[in-house]
Amino acid sequence: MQNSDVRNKTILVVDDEEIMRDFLVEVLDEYSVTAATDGSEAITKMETQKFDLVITDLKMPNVSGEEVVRRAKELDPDYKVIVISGYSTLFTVSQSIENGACAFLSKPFSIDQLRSEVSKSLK
Amino acid sequence: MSIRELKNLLGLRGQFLLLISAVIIGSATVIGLYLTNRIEQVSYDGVIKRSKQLVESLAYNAEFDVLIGSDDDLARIVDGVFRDSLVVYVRVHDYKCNLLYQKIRDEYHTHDEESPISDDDASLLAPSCSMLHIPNEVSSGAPTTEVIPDRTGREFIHFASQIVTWESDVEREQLGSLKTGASDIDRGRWSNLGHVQIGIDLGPMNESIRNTRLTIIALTMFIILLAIGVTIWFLGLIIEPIKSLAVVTEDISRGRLDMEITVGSKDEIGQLATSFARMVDSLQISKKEVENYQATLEDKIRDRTEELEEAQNQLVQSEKMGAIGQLAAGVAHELNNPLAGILGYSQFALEKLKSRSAETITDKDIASFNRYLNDIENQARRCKTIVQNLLKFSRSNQDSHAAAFQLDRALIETVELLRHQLEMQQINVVTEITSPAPSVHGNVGKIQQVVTNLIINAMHATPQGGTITVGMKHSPTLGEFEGAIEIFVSDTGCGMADEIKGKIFEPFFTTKEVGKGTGLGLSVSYGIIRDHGGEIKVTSELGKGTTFVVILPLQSSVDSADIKQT
Repeated sequence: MQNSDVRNKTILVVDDEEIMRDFLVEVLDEYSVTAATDGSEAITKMETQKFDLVITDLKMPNVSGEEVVRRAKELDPDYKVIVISGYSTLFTVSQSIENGACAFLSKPFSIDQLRSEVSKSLK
Repeated sequence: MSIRELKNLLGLRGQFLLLISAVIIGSATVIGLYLTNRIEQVSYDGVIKRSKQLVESLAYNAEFDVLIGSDDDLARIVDGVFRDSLVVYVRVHDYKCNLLYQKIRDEYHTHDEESPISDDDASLLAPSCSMLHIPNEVSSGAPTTEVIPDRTGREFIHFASQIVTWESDVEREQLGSLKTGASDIDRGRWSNLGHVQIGIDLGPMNESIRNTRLTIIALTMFIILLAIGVTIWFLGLIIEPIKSLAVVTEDISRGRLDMEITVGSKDEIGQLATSFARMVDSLQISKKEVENYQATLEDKIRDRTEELEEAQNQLVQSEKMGAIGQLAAGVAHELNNPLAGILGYSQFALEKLKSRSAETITDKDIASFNRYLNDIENQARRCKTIVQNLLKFSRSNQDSHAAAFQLDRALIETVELLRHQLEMQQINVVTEITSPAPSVHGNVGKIQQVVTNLIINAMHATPQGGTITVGMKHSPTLGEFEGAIEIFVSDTGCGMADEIKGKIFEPFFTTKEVGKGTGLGLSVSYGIIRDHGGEIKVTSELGKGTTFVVILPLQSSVDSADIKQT
């Protein structure tokens, strides 16, 4: 994959935990990464800009990650969303997939896992 | 005294005795009276009849002597009459009421030397001729006999009888002639010659009757007494066994079944005693059986109670475990974020390090490494805090020590422990905790357990997007509590119906399905607050939400000895 192609890919990262946002931004620095602190901020950003990928946490105050996924799919049925969560039960995983997420990563995850899912989604 | 009281006073024996006595006395009296009367009547009738016969036969016998005027013979006849002891006097009158002859019994002589009347004069005793109703003619061929009662006050009766004679039509001179036949003599008429009078003394008879009456009375009384005596004796025969049976029954009713019942007779009483004795035996057997069963029953109950207590303890334990488990789950999830940071940055740093060598490493890299390691350290510290909080909570749960603690800090800690979990459920947490708060004397761990329980319950009831508010209020007096503090946990959840509200503090009551929740949380919480001398109250509205209020006295009466290890 060309560096320039990759650099053009926009990723929206949504998590209320600062450490998660910083880490994701750091690890995914080859892409254009935007961060949002909660669901409503994420949805606002999504409405103004089409991202190539959204990576969102599930359990957030006010507007949850599930909402983000749903909204993304409303904007574009093919919207790529990866769900990350420390709260991974069979239910939440299956619900996320049903809502349209293309992948589910449970925290803590390894960097390789993350990278692999991200590149898969951006293809 | 009413009849019932009288009956009770007399008893069975007395009642029966009274009745029998009445019967005996009544009948004896009636018989006695009747007998006396009859004797009297019969005697009297007998005397009258006898006397009539006497006077009539005297009148008949006196005819010849009166006709021929023979006194001697008349005297002889009268003496004959006097042989009857009842006769007092005899008088013979002619048809002109001239006294022809009289005699009076010796005992009735007047014996008065001064008296002009001779000893044989019965004029003082007998009714005068003029008082009699003897007719001069003879009616229907039969002499008239009259009974005259006495008017002198003596116990006499007087009799008078006509002396009659046949006057035939045949001349005297012709009487001796053979030519006159019986039929000639038959022609004639009866005529009154005079009459005879006798007086009868009823005295002896009356006396005899009186004696008889007395005898009868005496006899009657004797019979009455005898009968009553026999009755009493017989009653005793019956009552005594009944009494002793009653006494034995009383003892049996008190539980003594070892009494001896002696059976004397073979009659009904005896049969009763026999059956009774048999009944007592079977009672004894039954009693033994019951006692045996009771003993084993008590054992069984003891065993069962132990089992139940054991089961209850286990449930309470599992409730506590459940509560801690709930916390642990939340805490575990909470740990995932810092762990992700730790893992992520560690891996990232390692990666970077691999791709650099001592020569290619830049200052920027070193700065990055610093950053990463700092973040790792921070996150690790964060993990430590999270774990410590949980440990502190579970440790203080074990401890039953009561001390003064700051309620605001306790509440904030509890909320923090659960905040992450709540946020994962999309539930907003609002705190209305004023600091500094007064210090409360009690077991901080247990109070935190109660608040945790309330918050977890609220969490289960509240849907995503709802709000749970945890707060406290301090007022010098809260209801009947002097110097108390109020902790409340409100939710905007589904609320409770009134009938549920009434049951929620009951042990094992739960609205969750089987397997989810023991139903012990609120009953354990209730116990904890009660041990602290406080109160838990609940208000709820279906569809709107629920608020639990815990009122804690600032100086709770709890001390380490009081708090039960639940």
